Amino acid sequence: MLRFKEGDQVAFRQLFDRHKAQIIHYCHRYCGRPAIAEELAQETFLRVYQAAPRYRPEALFRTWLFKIATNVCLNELRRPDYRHHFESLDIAADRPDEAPRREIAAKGNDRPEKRFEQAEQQQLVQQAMAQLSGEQRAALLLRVEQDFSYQEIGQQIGRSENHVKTLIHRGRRKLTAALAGYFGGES
Amino acid sequence: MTTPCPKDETLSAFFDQALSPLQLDQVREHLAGCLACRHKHAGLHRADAALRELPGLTVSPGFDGAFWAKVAALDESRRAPSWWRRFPVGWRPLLVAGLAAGVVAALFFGRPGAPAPTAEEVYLSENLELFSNYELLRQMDVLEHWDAAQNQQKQG
Repeated sequence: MLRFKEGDQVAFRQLFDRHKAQIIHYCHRYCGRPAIAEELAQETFLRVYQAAPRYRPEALFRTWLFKIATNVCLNELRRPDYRHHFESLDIAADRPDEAPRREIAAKGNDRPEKRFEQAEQQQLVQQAMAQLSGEQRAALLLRVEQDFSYQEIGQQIGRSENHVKTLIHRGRRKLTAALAGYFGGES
Repeated sequence: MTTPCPKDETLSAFFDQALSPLQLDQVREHLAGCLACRHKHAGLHRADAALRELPGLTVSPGFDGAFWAKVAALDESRRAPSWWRRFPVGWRPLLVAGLAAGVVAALFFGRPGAPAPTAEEVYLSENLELFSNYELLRQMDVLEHWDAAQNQQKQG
């Protein structure tokens, strides 16, 4: 990023290529729609591009990048015409332009009943995610999927570590509640 | 006898190893003797695993092209000459000072322009002497309908 700040355009291209898949993935998890996820990811990198002259290496670049992505996602949530839709897998399958792009989740599971169970579980998780507040969703995804520490997540969403701890706990509580029936009440 | 069950929030933080070393030891020790908390802990593990197992997304073929087009458009808008950018850098403070002086002068010496007079106002001002004579005006009212009065007289 410092190289790009000094005018090295190739450096930005390298950053984009290295991180784009992660950012698209994060935005997809956050908003639930592939097309919107890509728009949000592009917006994230455009902001990085524009913010380069003001960039100061106070934290890891990846932490800063996800902070921007989180801001973009939270802004999307605050829009009056909020486009967030965690769609069911059935609906996704009905949309021919987007469905083929989803990776098949049933890795190594060729048995139809196993695949059905897995799809049902994914449905429950998606529904639970849709019920989380914007900050809960961001904190949970940043922790569980991106492996950021509570301190880093606090920097990213502008909250204290204790607040992050509460956000993650509440997010997990909703997820475990949603999956409770699926796991026979063990969750 | 095991220690009291930790709060769910503490258990969640323990799961993330986000507690102090002392707290981590305490929770670990508690879990060893508490089946209920071990179940809760296992539930957290399953919830995280379920989240990670959601279907992923492959990058669409047009993603890169669309992004670099946006970057090109942004660069183009930055390069577009504006009156400010065309002004030599060394002269810019002078320009700002000049504009500021202009604004100050307009605020102190400028007066809002009076609206243009209407046709009636112009007529009034041109015939001020006439309209100040009340008796004459009364007669004018009669004279204005002089033809109609004459016709009535003839018919009568």
